Amino acid sequence: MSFEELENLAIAYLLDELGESERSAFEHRMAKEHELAKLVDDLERSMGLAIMASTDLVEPSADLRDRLLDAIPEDESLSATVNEPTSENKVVPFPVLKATLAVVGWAAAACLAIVYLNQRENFDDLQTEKSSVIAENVSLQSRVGELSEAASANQARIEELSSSMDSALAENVSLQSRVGELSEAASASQARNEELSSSLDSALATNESLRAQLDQLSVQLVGVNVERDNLESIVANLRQQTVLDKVQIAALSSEIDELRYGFAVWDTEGDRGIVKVFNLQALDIPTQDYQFWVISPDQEAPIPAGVFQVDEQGRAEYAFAPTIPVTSVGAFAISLEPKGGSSSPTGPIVLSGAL
Amino acid sequence: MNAFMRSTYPLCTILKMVADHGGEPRTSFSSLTRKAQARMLMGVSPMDESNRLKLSAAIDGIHSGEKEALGTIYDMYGKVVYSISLKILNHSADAEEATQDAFLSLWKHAESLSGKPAKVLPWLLRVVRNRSIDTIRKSSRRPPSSQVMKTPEVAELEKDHAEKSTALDALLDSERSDRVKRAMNQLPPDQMTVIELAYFSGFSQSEIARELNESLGTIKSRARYALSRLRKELEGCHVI
Repeated sequence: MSFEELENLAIAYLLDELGESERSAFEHRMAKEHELAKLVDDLERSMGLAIMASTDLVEPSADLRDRLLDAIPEDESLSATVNEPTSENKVVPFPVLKATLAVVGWAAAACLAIVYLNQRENFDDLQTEKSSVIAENVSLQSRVGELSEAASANQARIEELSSSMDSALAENVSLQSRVGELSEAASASQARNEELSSSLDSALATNESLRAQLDQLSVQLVGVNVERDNLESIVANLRQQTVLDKVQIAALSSEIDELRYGFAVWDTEGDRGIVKVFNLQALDIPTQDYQFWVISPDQEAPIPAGVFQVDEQGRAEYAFAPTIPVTSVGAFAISLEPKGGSSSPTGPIVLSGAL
Repeated sequence: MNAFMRSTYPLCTILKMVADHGGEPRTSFSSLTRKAQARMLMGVSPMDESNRLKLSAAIDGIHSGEKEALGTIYDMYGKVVYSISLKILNHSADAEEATQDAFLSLWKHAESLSGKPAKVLPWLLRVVRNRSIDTIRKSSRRPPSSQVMKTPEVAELEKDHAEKSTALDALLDSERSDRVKRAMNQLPPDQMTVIELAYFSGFSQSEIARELNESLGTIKSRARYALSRLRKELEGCHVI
């Protein structure tokens, strides 16, 4: 209820426009709410001041005060005094006979009056009590109505909350299921992630290793190139010398691995020579040897010229001589052979080169 | 602004009033209780305090069965109560009967007003108004419409008729009485008309709406605006 509605109700109360039940309910509310009681007091005071200000002052009869005080009941019961005889209807005396009858009559009347007054008093008390009970009943009915409304509101609220809770529970179950799915997906992702991480680590390690090998090979290649350049320089110098007229030099190389190389110097007058090789693969010494071959245009088959091993760096320097005399040499070759060598090449050609 | 500064009476005035009433024990400032002294300093005049004490004593006297105590209250409010009833009934004998009934009702219910002297006058006005309206309804008699059914123009004209002695003048000093009249003069005539019709004629607000050919909402709004405005303007203005 808004304040304006409350003011309207208070004004209706002050103007005695409320029904019995409304008045009782309003007074019940006033007894509980101090602010409302003060509002009613203030409105009544303001209205009283305004009403008195608009009312001409008039003197009542001079004897009204005395009549008022005379009318005050001795036993505080207003109803008893209202029915008391006044000075205007006092009893006039009758003759004796009639007076006797009159006495009897008046005695009876007095008795009846006493009985009447007593009953009237009881009736008034009962009326008062009845009014009080009715007012209390109305107040209680109003209170019951309020409580009933409150209970209905509470019930509706409970149902609303229950419905909300059901919805929340259903949503909760759905969310739990979704959380489970996401959790499984997260686990799978985590496993895949770890797997990829492991693969990545492995790849990185391999990459690192390859990079290290590449660096090493690059260094070796640089060294080989430098040494080759040196050798070519030496060969060029030697060719400029007369001694080179008696020797022939062949550069040995590999078709499958350019890092492998060597050279052979052939003494045309002594039927002998020296071979120097680099970066050959180290062999299983008990079972394998490198075998040097001299290829002559005069011979159909390569001529064996001895076997040798390389050191840990794949290097070897070996003085060779063909097992049979040759008049001319066309080329040299080195093959991988069983321990002790073969009469003719059986293994792969490791290095070769023509004069 | 504190309560003292809002006081209706400056301190020097209070002291003078106390001095003027110094010979009477009931109005002697020093003889008052501390609570009464505090009330006086907050704007309650010594006369108000004297009346308050007199009323409290009278209510207690009624409770003790002292008839003269009711006479004391009649002396204070009898004329006002009668004047209100007469305005409603426009019949002196009926008004006197209603006045007598109201005071006899006070005699019966004085206990409920014990310790609440400020409530005595509103209580009497309510009872006499209800009794008077009941008399009208029982006799199917209404007060002349010219008395209560004032047109706004008539009400406006009456505003200027300020020299007439009113019921309020019998209770309040001129300063407070003028304050009430000023507050009423600030109200639009149609609003005050609704209050007077409702109070003096016993017409319900619905009946007033029909009489004035207005909607019930309009009449209720006028009554509420009028009383709400008066309540604010007259805050702290008490008879005692």
